[in-house]
Amino acid sequence: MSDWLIGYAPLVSQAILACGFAFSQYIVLRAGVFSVATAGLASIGAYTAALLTMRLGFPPAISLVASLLVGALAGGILSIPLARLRGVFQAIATLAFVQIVLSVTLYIEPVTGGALGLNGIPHVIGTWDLMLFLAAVVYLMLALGNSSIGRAFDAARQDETVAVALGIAVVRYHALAFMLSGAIAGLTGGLYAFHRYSIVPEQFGFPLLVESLAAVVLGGRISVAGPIVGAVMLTILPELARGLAEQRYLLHGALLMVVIIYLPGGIVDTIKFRLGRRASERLAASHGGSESAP
Amino acid sequence: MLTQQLLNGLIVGSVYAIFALGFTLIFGVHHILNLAHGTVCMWGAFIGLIAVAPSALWPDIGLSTPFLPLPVAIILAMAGGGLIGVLLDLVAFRPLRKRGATEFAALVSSIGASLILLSLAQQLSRTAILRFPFGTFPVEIYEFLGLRVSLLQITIVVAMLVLFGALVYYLYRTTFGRLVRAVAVSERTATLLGVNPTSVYLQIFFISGALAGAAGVLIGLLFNSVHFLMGEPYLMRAFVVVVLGGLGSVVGAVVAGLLLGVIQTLTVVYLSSGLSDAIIFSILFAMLLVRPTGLFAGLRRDARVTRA
Amino acid sequence: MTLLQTENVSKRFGGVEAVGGLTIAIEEGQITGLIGPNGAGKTTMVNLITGLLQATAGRILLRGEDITALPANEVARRGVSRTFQNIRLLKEATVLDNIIVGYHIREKTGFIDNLIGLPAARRERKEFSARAMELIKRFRMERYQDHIAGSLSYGHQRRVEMMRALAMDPKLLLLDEPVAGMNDVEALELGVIFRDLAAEGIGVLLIEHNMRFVMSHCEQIYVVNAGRLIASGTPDAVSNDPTVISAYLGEAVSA
Repeated sequence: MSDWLIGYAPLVSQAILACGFAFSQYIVLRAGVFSVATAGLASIGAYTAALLTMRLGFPPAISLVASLLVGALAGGILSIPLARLRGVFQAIATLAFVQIVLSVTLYIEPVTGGALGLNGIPHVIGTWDLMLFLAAVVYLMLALGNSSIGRAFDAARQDETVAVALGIAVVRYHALAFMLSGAIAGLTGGLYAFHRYSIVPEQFGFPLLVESLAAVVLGGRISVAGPIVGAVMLTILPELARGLAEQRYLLHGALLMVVIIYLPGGIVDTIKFRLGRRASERLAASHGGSESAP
Repeated sequence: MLTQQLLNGLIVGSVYAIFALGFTLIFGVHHILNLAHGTVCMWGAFIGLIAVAPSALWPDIGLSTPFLPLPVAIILAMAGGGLIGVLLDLVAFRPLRKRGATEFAALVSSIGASLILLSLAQQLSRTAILRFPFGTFPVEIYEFLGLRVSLLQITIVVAMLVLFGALVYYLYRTTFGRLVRAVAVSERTATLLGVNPTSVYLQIFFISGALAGAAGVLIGLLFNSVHFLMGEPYLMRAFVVVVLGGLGSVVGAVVAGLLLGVIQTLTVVYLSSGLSDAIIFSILFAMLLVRPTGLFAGLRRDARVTRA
Repeated sequence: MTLLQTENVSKRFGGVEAVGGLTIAIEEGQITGLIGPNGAGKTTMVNLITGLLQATAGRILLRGEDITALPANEVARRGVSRTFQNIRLLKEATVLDNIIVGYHIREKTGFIDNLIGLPAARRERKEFSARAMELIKRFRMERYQDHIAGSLSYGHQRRVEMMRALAMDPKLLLLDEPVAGMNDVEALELGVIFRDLAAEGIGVLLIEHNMRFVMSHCEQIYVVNAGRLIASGTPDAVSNDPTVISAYLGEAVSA
């Protein structure tokens, strides 16, 4: 096990960080918010953690907690103006947010190091720490998914009108989704900084946005396993063959198109839904199918 | 000084306008954000460059430069951009339309298509920054009233006005334009009235791609650089343009495109080039909150999803 | 006792007046009917009462409390639940889950309990499942509890929607064409359930096209046409009212 881990540690770490960003994207989509703010929130978390430790000498553990809290706060603040928008307008506004964070981190060079970024961040996060983090996030997602919060998210996503008619304060749940998304993105960003020695603003731009979105689309937007499957696939596929690594964009692009057209629920949810439907049909057949026929 | 900067702003703004026209057209009719528009623009620049100077990409095959005259290259770039647009509709959007999929699916599909187009150009150019050969466009500078303006800059503004005029004429003065607007308002109603939405979409995607192709060549000439990532900053700015002007509004795209060009130039000159993007995207953000419908109404008028 | 009272409620969409000054009252423990031709403003009225739409003028009082300007989720919290004319279920979820989501406003466990999955939250879900099963029995849907809602027949989907509305434990239940598309036997079955609900003290507003069904189940009937009240009273009084007859005949001719 340990030999295996040493050989594949960089890849495992990369996959776990990708899972973190994917879960940040997942939780907003699950609540029916079309936000793509994850990359910007991750940037805020990464810079918060790195700067607190490098400039102010905070212990990394405290800095990581701070990256989580600052991420949640940023998500919460972002949710206030966005409560008025829906659909593509949310997507555009959060895209603008990512661009604003990117240009600000590039601009305030004395603080962030500008385009050169921050270098020499203490390397205190190893693969085992990341595994612990992933386990915690997965537990949180599972607990949340089975709770009243998960039910409210599902209702708000599938039919907002029904949700409010059932007494669900959709705006508040959307704000909660934003805060959770910010917390996860912020913490993942912080872990990224402490794992990678250096960060630059461009790492948290449009490509990360696409990568996080792609992981969720690929794996699935409802099941907790979805983002993991998606993120792991996107991380591992290019490593399977040298040729594939060079064709990274092509591979991602083709995967995205094929999945959204032919498996619109993503891999995990499509399989789950089909199994569910088949079970439904079997049940119907055993009870005399005529009654449930449309 | 200020007048010169305003003029420079209008020229950059004209490029934004041409780019945004095609982007807003697809949103107006189809209600989707086509994130592949930037890569179509980039491919327009590549096609234009190959037509003028094939040796820029393939130095070994011994074709002379200029291989084709620039006007022909621009027409080829527009035709090529248009065909890529049609291909996008067929491959990325039509299967989703059949299923009645959401705007989310269309957005994801367009990102996928964009990555594929990006990757192809990346491999073709081996990530190099390519240039149009010197003198592809005659270098002539005019001065009047103390303002300096090049022939290329004048051409860009004129091209924007011509393309805009042609598009408006097409949408509001031709029978076909009426069909387009009918589909924009409601595909179902239009179908009931005997309009074939499939052909409307194909033509809209062709026109949108052709506009992107023209923008690509002009951008490549203006900044003397053709690169596989060149379309992305314009796509980002197109968001600002269409939100300012009103998603789906053709007139809005031109007015907001020019406005954005001026704002950007002024912030770069008088504040800081580093802050320019932050300011531009803050304007976009603020506009979405204050007036998400933009300054002008689109081809159809539902800006916000209603609750009931 | 009057459960819900609307006072001169109006709603305009742009220049079109969908509801023009309607005053109606819904009593506790009774089934009140709201009938009228298509486009008379019946569903708009339901949307106004439930807060999905905001009235242009007038007041809506729930047990004396002014709920006119409250958002829909707050109105729901005060005990108003509804079904939709065009059935709106969570189509990807099972029948049981569709009902459980209806218990949202009855949840007592705290936010943190739910966020980190404490036993209290799990216990509550179990309790809701048990209560949902009772509803499922009442509507004779036991065999469908684990079916995906979207795969059920029309009539069964309507029942799921009603169960979800009842999960909210409402004081006022608004039923928007609950027996549309059902045969007489099915409709009668539901009619019995509606009467039981009224007997338990719930105020029911029944919007229906099936005249026979309305006449045989409602204590009080309001007839609207083009957003205005044209008659009200007991089923007998309403069915003999000449304006009602002409409104309905008019519709029959045009339809």
